[in-house]
Amino acid sequence: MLDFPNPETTRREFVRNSPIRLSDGADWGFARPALRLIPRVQVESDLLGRNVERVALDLRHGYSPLIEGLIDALGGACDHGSISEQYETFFSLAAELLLNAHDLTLQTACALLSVGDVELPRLINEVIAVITEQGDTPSANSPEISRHEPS
Amino acid sequence: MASVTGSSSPRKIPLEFDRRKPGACGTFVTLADGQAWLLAQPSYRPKADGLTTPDVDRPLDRVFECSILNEPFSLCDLWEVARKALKANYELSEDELANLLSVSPGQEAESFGKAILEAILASEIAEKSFTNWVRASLLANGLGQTDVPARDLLNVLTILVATNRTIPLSRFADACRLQDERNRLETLL
Repeated sequence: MLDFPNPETTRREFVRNSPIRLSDGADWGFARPALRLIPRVQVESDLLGRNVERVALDLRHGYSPLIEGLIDALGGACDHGSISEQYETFFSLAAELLLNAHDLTLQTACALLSVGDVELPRLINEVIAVITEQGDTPSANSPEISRHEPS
Repeated sequence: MASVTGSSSPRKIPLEFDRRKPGACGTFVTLADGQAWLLAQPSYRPKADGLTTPDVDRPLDRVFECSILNEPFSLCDLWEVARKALKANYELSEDELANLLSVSPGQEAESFGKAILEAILASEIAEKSFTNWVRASLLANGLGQTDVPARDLLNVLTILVATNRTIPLSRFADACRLQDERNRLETLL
């Protein structure tokens, strides 16, 4: 059995997160949507009137493209994928959210996410609540993962 | 069923190898999509309109100034460098570039800045080896475009050292300096 690290000692600074109880019985942070700094190119005139490109700062609220891609993949799997694809995409997303908030190896993250059948629906609901920034109740347009065993 | 984000279609994440231009080279840096992308290292040649290709003269100057004045680097300068270094190697739209170069404030932004500077300044691969000494000595003496036959190389370098036009290999190469330190330590012991 893995000797799990402590959530507090592995917590990354400045990452907005919500706690979710995992297989070791401890509350671990899952990264919430947060401020993103985005480059924006704007064309300005220099002293001689020539056009020059400058990079300016834009702000956006959300996730990195990596996590947004995983959210889209989960949505796609819930719409059209098999049950095993739904679970695979869900756990990929959950692991990435956990790794964003804590300095862990992927192996440890997977072990922490290995909750029992009874706990799995709660884990799914809480992760969906994190990404949709809802309370404990997932929103109506959140994906629903079939409650069957993965094939 | 609606997607998780409420958008009607999934966002397209470009695949690194799909967009890579032939002959792309540089240093791999992991960007916001989790993929490793090749950042082109600028080459330096004095021209009427600037020094670097791709042209990163202005942001590089500002990064240098911040470094000397011990001020924090501007994220916009680092973005400007990274954007041009990526465009030299890949076919990417401005929106795709913006997504790839996006960061969260704090640790992610700091790691991004460090990775960009290391990639652009080639600090990790600028090892002090024999071949880099030969290369630097020839470049410093205007011989960058000349094929020097192997039988002449050591004579050319001997003359460059003797006429103070390059430094001796023993002062340049890491291996030589390490051996020098070992010798000094043995003397002390």
